[in-house]
Amino acid sequence: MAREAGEAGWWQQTRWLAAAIVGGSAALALIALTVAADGDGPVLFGLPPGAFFALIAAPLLIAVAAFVFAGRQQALDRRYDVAED
Amino acid sequence: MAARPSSHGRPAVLFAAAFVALVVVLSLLDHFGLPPGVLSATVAGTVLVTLAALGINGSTIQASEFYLAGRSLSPALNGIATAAAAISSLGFLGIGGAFFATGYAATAIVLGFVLGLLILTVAVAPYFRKSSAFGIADFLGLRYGGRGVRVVAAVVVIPALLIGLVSALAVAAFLTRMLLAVPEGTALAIATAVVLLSVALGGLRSVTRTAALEYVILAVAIAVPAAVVSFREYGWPLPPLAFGEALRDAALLANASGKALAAPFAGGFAPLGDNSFAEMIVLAAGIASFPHVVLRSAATRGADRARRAGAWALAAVLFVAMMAPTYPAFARLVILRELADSPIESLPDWVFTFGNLGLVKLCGVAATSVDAVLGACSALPGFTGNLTVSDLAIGTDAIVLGGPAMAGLPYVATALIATGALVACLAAAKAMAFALASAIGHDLYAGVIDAHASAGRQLIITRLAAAVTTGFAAWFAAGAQSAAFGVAPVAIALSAGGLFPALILGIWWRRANATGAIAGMVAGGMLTAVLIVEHRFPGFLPFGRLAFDDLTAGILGLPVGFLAAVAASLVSDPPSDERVMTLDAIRRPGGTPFVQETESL
Repeated sequence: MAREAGEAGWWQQTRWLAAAIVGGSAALALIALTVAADGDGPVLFGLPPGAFFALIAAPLLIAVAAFVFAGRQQALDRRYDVAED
Repeated sequence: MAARPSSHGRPAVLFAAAFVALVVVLSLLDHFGLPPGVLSATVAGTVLVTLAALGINGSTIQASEFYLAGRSLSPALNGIATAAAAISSLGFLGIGGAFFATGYAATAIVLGFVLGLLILTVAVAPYFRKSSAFGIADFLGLRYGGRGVRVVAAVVVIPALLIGLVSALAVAAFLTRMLLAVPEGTALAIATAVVLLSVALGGLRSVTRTAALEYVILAVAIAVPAAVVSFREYGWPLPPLAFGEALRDAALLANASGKALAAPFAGGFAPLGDNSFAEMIVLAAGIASFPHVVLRSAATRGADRARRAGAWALAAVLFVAMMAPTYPAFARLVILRELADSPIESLPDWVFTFGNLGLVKLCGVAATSVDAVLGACSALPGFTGNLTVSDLAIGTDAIVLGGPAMAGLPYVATALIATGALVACLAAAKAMAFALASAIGHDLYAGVIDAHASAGRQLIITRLAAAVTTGFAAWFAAGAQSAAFGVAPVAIALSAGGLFPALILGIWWRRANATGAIAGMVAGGMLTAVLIVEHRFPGFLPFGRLAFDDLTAGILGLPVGFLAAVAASLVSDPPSDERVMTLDAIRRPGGTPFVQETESL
């Protein structure tokens, strides 16, 4: 019974983590696409800030999010004792 | 016995080092006048022979090795093998071409790729791995139960992979012909043989061994020429941080002269329209459920490693995706700066090389020779005998392939990047051919037709399926080579509309059942397919022309697939206790695997 309750808590946190990572990254990607063509203002490495964000910053942040997710999920699995042997 | 990780990684590392050494030697020989034809044939021939040899070397009669590469791969190795399978011609050539044609709107492709691989990492890969499934049809069959789900999933998976395979083989044949200077049919036969040797003899084991090498080759091929131009032009060898400067300088030159390059003409690799949001969403969903990409998660040792492999795949794809846009930027800059007002007779060779491939036009005609160009240009008013850059139109397909030459690099850089593109196509073709054969031989034959088939019989059927489907794809590619270039997005759209809803709901929604899965796959897949047919054959539908292309056709299939799956699940009986227990076992990373892996073979 205690194990089932523990697994329910683990799954709830797993869902929240997945939703936060995927939802956050999807929102980031949508914002990036919206601002990609903004051409006014200062430039970063020759690119308008919107294009720099869309082409460089947002994809890199999403890649970092994937590694962060892998680490956090593994920690979560260990805390609830459902990790692989 | 499971193979050690190094048995897959070590040969790839050794061959990759040898490849880099070969490129250095050929660069020196290029400097001393080695003919371009010999140079490109040497680099491409060496790579093709090596890939074929590695494919043969990986041959196995063990089912666990053939289907799952022994489940022994490290996350990084499996990640780069996944990246090699995912990139294909769309990632290697299409991103640069799309940037050339549509500017920053093409960011949608980069974001679609990375978002798709993130969804794969978070929401699909660890659960797919824990299920011990061999393919998507197998996974959906295990999760939902019943033969109907397997059959319907196979009906979506097989056409999607077959279409992707046709496209990959067609582009690989085009590049083989360009590099080896052999007839079209011979080039296709060579590309097909390299694919078949890996897939039929060694299955996922051979595909993996070659994929690691393939990723290194394609990454070196796209990064080195861009880094050299970046260093030459701006003093730092980091192309993603230099191409903005190149774009700005090219715009300044165009403004100063009042003449920009003619609008690029669309090719097959970058057939992308102007609906960036739809492109990104469909690409993300399609990549996250692309059968040959998802299947790679099965080759890791466990769910945690599948997650980390997904993250590595994302990083590896992003590396290539960030290099690709630099080619159009540097090419545009150098052409405007160095070719404007040059005499037609002294134009560089690349104009005519790519002109003969139909990828460069001057004054409205393909730049096949100086005489052809002079003939066309002299008919234009005000022609002085010199090049007017606004008369120069470059096809989107040529911008990455020809980028090094356009930027003034030696021929070895062109041979290198064409070899990288070839390898990207072969890697995707092998992964698709294997996933196709596995879907037929294991998921369909052993899962539906003959559940008691021995491991040996399954292997024979799978190898035969590999031979037949790859041969069929090659035959189709031979018949419609140029048309086949652009069909890769069709495969992605079919995966997004037909598979993504059932896959995601199967993992994340306990109430989803077999009826819902079938309804989702049928509704989403059919709607996507109908919209693709309407795009390809206008007038197919009675209510006028719709604004969808091959990729964005999935944008309606995706929500309709979700809605149909949810509605059908809710109006039918809840899943049985056995199905719910299966789902719980799939979700939990530890514990006994749901299916006894190699013992089941």
